[in-house]
Amino acid sequence: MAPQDVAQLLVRIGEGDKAALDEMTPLVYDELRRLAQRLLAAERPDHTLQPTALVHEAYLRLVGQRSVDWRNRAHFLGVAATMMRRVLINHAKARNAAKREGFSNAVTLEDAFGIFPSPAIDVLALNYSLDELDKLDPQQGKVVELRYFGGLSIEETAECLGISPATVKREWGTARLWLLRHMEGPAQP
Amino acid sequence: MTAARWGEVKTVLASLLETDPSQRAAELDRLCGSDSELRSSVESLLALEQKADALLDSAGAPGAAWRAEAPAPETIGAYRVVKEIGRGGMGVVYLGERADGQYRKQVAIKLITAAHPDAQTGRRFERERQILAQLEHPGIARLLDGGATAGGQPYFIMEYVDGLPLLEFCRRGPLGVSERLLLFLQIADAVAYAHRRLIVHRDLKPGNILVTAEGQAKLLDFGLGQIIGGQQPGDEITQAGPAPMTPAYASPEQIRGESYTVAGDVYSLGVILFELLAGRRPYPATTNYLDLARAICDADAPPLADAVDANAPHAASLRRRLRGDLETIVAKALEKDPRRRYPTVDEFAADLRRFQEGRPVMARKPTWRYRAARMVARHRIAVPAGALALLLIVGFAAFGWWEARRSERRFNQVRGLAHAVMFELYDAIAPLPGSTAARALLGRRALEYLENLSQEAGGNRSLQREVALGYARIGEVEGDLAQANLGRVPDSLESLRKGAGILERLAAGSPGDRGLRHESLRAAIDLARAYGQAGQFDAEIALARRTVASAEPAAGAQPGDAVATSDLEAALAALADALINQKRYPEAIASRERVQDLARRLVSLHDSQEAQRSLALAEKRLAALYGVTGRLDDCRREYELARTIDEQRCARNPQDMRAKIDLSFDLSDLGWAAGAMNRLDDALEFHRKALDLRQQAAQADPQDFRAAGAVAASMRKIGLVFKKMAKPREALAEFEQAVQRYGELSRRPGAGWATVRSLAETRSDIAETWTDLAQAHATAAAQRRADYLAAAGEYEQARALLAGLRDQGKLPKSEWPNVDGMASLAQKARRNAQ
Repeated sequence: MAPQDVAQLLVRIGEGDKAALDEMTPLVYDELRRLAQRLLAAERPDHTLQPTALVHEAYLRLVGQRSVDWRNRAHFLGVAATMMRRVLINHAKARNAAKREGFSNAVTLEDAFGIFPSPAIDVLALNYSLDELDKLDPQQGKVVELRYFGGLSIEETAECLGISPATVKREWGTARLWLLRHMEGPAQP
Repeated sequence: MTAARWGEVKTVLASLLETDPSQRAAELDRLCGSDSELRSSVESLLALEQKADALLDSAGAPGAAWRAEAPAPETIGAYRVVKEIGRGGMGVVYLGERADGQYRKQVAIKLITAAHPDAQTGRRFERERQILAQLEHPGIARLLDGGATAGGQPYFIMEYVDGLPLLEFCRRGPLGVSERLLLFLQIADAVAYAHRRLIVHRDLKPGNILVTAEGQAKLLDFGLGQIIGGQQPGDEITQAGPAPMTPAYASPEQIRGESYTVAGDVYSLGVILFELLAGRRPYPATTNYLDLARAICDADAPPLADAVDANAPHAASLRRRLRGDLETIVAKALEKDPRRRYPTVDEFAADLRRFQEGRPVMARKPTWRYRAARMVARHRIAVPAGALALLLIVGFAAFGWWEARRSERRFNQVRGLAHAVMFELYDAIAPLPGSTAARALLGRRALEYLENLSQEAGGNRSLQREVALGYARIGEVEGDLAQANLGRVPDSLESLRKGAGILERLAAGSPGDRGLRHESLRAAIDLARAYGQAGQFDAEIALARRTVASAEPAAGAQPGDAVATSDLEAALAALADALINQKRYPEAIASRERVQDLARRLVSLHDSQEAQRSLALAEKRLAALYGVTGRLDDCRREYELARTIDEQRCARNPQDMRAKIDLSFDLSDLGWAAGAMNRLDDALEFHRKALDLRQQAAQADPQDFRAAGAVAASMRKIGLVFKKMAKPREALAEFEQAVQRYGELSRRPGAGWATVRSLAETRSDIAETWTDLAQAHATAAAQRRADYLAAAGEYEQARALLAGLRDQGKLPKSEWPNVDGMASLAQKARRNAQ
């Protein structure tokens, strides 16, 4: 896919087009996986890629340098957040499976990123609760996805969702509490 | 908890979180009043605050790990980094000072992160740095130094400009028209200065221009676009992409990706002047890049004065001021055609000075004749296709056939030219990348002429035949376009319908003309298949039946006529495919059995590679139908026949990738038959052989859609065998590979609905496998839940894919129940997860 197509996808995502998001997600995932594989294959041993550099490089490759629009970058990060959530969930499942069946995969994309959630949090349980929050309050669910899985700042999250930073702050602050209670306790009425 | 209730709780909670802890109790009383349920909900959540800080902290989140920015370096070159002052697509800008404290001069440090640090980039930056260092002008932020960090990232040390962005400076003034013009002339002079040193800016925009407190305008980032783009003549090919640009200020040629010249800077300056004077840009602000690109390339900029907001202060007097010469000058800078703009920025500036001094300006209002010419040309500019094709299209207009007189000589000339365009040029430009749209346009134009002639000529049959064949070709190309743009489907069908209709009439009028009959039948078959591709299955079946009936008499009367025989064969095959699309298998078998007989007859009439292949295909297609209707022994027999033929073809020519693919289909289907007969080890063996052949073919030609699709299909089939063998892990691995490939394929241009359906089917396979796993893990509750959730997710994705097809009218009606089927499976899995 040509950079300008990706840039258009990003613009459509910015306009709230869900189909564009679906189209974009596997692109980002594939590109990151490809880069990670290349990294692992030590094709370029002199080129130390940090995870951030990896994402940045994926962005440049996908969007090209024509698109210097910062908003595009925010949407890209938004897509990447969705993708990272899936990566983490898949990883957690695979890890559980490995524990169960006693085999371990070769190095995965997840390992390459070096992203492991805090051991105190069961990421599958969190994901499950987040799904529930999504149903209750979709915007708030999205804020958590961007902040927690995507690592977006308050300002970036605001840009990505087209809401004010103050709103993001409130959504995030209250969502954390809701999620913890949902994960811990018996279901609330 | 309902969404509404959560909304209330959230509001109170948010407000309390922002309240000092000592004040919270009072605030809680105030906000909850007598609603004790609300109060207890809020309190229970609030109690988790510290725990949330510990567990769900954004800094400790997985996202933070991969977003963690490298900290700002302490020094870059001989400069100490003070703070970050900007961030953009190219990199980061820091405020810096001399690290050795020699003198306390502040600088801007631009660290370029948008380039891959390697030796070649390094050399290019070095060369450019030397060029940019020559720019010494009060209107240009000076390049002081540059180099590369230890990590190889290039950086520039620029003069630090303490000022306001151009537009903000003008607003704060607020500056009047004359003052704005003076400021703009400063900018124009700086750009002209650089142009004299053969450096273009490429990304001129108000955000790149700062104005100091003393009123000096300074251009930033001069020439950086060039460095990033690396597109100077003589430069090696670099992996860096196209130069950055800001679409709102880009010229039409820049939007189209053509080479950048001084005229591009003239245009961007025109946009800046427009915005400075009228308060907005010439084209409507939109975030949709395509709309903007279209406007820039096609739409006329409004007259400057008309663009002034009627509610702006002194709008009426401002409009009067802008009307006339200023309007004409700006319009000249904004011409679509670079040759009609000011040839240099100096001349642009000189005209503005003439205006200020009250002397006559050089710019002229465009004449009506020019405007009319542009109206005609406009539709052609939008299609960035092979340059040859564009040239030809423009050439057509210049040739002026439209006014061609009706004399005999003219008639033949026009006909000859149209014929050459339609049947020779058209094929000649077909291999050019991106020429599909141009071909459609070219063909349409030629067709208009042919049709016009045909009307003038009355009943000229050979001319009508040319028109009909023209429609058939256009329909075909429009069909290609339709893959990318579904809006074109009706165009394509209409063209094919017209062509087939004319040919049918002509063939009926001269029953003895075998060539015409052949063309007419083939056009009808193409149309029937196009109906099927457009999802109009009833029309497809009806037309295929009618075509079979038209082909029968000739094939029956002349069994030795290979053309008539193969026409009937093709019509029957189209009918069978149409029936298969609707899962009407017994009827399809009847058609296919006849196809097979005819294929045998063709081999006996004229034995050739192609005839052998057709026979093998006919056997396979029939075998597949036996298979789906449960006649497994018949099925295996037919496949073995096909396999024998295809193995001979492969042996004769090992480089024949098509024969390999064909053989892979035989094997794959034999694998299916073995699986259906529960001989799973055989099945795996067949599928693995098939996959191997397919991978060879796909590697030989990565563009080959069929081969790539076949690889994915094989992976899925191997997964299905594993699943049947109760090896879910192996199955999942294969399915995931297939999903990845199908996903990639479905995004390729030319991908049809069937690819998306395959993707959905594979997702559903994955869901079933997760369900198997969940059932196998009856004891581990948490794991079981996770497996069921994974299954539900996959079913939901499958449902979304199928629903998308259904909503676009592409899913056969017989498969519509699958959409709800997937939904209920997803629900069931979710219930099981509870």
